Amino acid sequence: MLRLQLLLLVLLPLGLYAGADHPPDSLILLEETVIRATRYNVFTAGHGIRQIEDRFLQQQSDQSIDLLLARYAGISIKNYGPGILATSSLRGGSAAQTSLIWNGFQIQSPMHGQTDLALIPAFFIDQLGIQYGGSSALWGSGSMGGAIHLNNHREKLAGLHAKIRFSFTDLEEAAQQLTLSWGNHSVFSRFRFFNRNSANRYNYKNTAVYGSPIYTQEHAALDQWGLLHETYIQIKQRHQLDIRWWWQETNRNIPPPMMQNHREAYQEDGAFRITGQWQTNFDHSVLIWRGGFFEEALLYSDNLNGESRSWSNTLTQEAEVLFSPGGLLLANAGVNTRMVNAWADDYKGEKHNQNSIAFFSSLKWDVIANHLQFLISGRQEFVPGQQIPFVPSVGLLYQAMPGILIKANTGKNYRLPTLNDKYWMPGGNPDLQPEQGWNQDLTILYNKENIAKISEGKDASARLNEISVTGYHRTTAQWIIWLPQEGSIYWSPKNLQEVRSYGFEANLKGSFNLNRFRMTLHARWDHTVAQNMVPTSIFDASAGKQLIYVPKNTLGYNLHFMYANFLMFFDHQYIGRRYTSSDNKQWINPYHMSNIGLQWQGNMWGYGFKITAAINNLWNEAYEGMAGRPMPLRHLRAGFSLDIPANADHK
Amino acid sequence: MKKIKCLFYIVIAAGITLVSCEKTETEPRDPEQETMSGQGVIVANEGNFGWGNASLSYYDKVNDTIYHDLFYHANGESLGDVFQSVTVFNDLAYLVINNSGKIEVVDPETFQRKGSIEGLVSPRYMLPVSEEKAYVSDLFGNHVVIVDLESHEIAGEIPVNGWTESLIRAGERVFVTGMQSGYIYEIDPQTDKLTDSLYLPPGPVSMVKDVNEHIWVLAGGAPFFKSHPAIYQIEKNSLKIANKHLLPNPDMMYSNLVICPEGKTLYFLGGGLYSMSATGSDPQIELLIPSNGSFYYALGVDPENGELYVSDPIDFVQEGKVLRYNKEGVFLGAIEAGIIPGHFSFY
Repeated sequence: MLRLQLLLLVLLPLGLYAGADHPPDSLILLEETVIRATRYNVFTAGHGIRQIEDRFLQQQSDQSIDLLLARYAGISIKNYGPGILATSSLRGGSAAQTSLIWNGFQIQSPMHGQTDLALIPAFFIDQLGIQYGGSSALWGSGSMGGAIHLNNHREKLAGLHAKIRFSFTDLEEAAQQLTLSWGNHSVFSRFRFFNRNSANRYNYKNTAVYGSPIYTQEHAALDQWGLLHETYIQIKQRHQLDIRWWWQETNRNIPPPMMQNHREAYQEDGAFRITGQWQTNFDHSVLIWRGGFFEEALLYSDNLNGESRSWSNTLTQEAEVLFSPGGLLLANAGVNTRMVNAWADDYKGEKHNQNSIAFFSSLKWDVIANHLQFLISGRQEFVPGQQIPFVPSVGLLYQAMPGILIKANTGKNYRLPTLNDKYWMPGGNPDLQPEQGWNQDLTILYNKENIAKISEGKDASARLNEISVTGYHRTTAQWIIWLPQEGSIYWSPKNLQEVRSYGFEANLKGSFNLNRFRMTLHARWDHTVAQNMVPTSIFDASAGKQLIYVPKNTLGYNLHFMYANFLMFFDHQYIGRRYTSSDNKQWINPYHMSNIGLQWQGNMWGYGFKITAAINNLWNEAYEGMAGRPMPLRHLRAGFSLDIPANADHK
Repeated sequence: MKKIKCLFYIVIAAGITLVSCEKTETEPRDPEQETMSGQGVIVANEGNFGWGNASLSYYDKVNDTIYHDLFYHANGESLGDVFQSVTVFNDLAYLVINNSGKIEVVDPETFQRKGSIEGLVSPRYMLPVSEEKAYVSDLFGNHVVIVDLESHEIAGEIPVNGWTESLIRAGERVFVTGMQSGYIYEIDPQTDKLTDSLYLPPGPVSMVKDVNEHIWVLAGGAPFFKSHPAIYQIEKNSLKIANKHLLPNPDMMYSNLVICPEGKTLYFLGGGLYSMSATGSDPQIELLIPSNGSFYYALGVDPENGELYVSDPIDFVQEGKVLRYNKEGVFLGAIEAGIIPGHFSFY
């Protein structure tokens, strides 16, 4: 009975989330009434979350996630070129203020606090979600602007399945993917492998030269391969064991900026990640142990500066208990330990480490079942030499009336200085303290359950499935910035800046059906004001100005037209002006980016086939990922995949 | 239902309006070149490494007016990546663009391009040594480059170990500082050969020549050496140390040694603007202008009146300021410059 009560508590939010742009509560694998608990699913009430649909992930599985985040979540990405050094900014935060969380583990580099999103293949991700706003109470250091969640899960497939995919571009790129999976009622194992080779020879407009002639980028080639293996084991209904390991190697030429063509830079990135999770479901509680080991190595070299090597490993463990203290309450408590070792040529060849321990807890209270839910979380981390604040978070969900959901959240957040911030030679500053700040969110969401059809006939209907608007405000103090130091030619980090951000994120989802024809629309508009608040000197004109590389406005929509076995997609994205000077006197021009494609899928001889062709940058827009870093003009992409045997989605 | 429709249209309309309100063109400033007096200062704005936003500003001293982005306005294209220095010679201005590996040759009146010297590695400063020939120091090249001023081509290289920086001519000899090696090197411009060298810890940065043709060398301090920073006086006719003057702070890196038009007072930067006599036997080093929270980055002296020009790049990602002082250190005014103003040429 108690077990049923716990399950109900976990299930309860589903009623509130119905139709919301929120991850499905994968706490439940309904077919087995198995609970798989992650804090992302259970304790994120009140946060604005944008989930990228599975169909988009599958459609773009030969891309890295930076492209999906831009195309389907409207996130502004800074990059050096396609597939080259991509970082994001959420709500005006720096790249290091966004956590990248893979199945509950933070995987951003402990050395620089960032993740190159171009190194994360969409092919390896089953669920991609963006949690907006600070969430340090749940995830710890770094989750100040938001968190990008990469999740994997078992499929319901039984028996042996295989999938092969090939894709090509006219940038002289070829990619291959292989998926092998096998499963029964208690075990599921999946192996994924990909290989990508690209000359990445793209045309761009050199706007730095008179007449903006078209050049061809000759130094952006990349070779990449990776494999991911997952095993999910169910033991006697009570126990679950998940094991995953991910190995990936990437070699890339780094394209030079437009005004510099004699430096040939090259980078190798290697990563090995292994995680395990053991979960035991008791009658009135769930015990979870998670462990992970992550190793990353990087070699950068160029023909002028020579080589720079770095390497790090992280061993992390977490124990968590999820339980119901009674009534309509659900709580968790846990402890997380993390041991980081890092070495770099630029640490003068020395090895540095950082150990931490954190205690966290959350309580979810369904004050009025299906109407009002209250959530409180807290986390305290300890790191030698660092004054880390206790970070609380409070959230609520309120079903104001049928179809209208109100979500609110406020919390304190922090980010530890990275090892590079502390130990880089020259310039590292071991006396840095964590960045810290507060955030407040308020979301109003209309969902499809209670928005009636605009018109409905026997064979035609149009729906607005969802409209949501999230307003937010956040402050960050002791923001770490690198500046040249008086009396030195070296740059050094300091806790100097104070930043205030506010804005909104609006989403709209609609659909139209007419007989066998179906159209879906996803549209979004993010407005971000992120300003430095404190001048550093009497001449500093940056106070009250928008932070560099943070566009005030990004808009986008995705239109899908489906008829029989055909799908046509049209994606459009607008990135507003990005300032490149902190006094806002210089900027990169806004740009519009459209992509169009056609896909056919069907079954023949028991196999599933899918053929895709797309035109990227349809309007041949000349734009820059960063100042001086041009992106490709119009180019083509095509793909072919084969499912053995055919999956249900190939009907 | 109508409300929902209305909301939908409002969101779309607001988005379209907002997009259309954002300008898609940059707003270059009007150079108004015809009003320039011809007596002024060329300011080399480095720009940010890799961003290609170097620019050239010109301060008209007579009209007390500054003009920006003059190379762009005159030539319709960007100047390049990291504008390191400018040298005016024979009615031409040579704009040394470090990370673009080139020198743009322009008319200093109109800033229209007269030629380009391409193929350099990482050029820093240029010194004409004859009507036809100039030397160019280099950050990564392990050499001093010889450029032909008539053909605008590289004419040769003089191998030197590591990063070369400041160049100066004294009599029939040319000297170049080796930032990384800790030496100054003597070059015979007739043969383009190294003829002598002198080790000056903790690493020579910049040099000037005084009224008596003595060379003064600022050995500024870290990064490459841990010795106490000092200013050296070199004997007139031989590469030997005449005097060594230790600078106030052993942990500071001093830079930008310049000299007044009379050749009697030295100035340099290091957490403020310092002055020192170049004539007395026991010169005192004085903090002439404390930085007071500003970042003193580059220093120049007006050869006409001895006014001091100090640049402040502020946070290095906004348009910097150039602060003007008279020789006594009295503040005269501030001029807006471009991103990271790093060098001055008085023309």
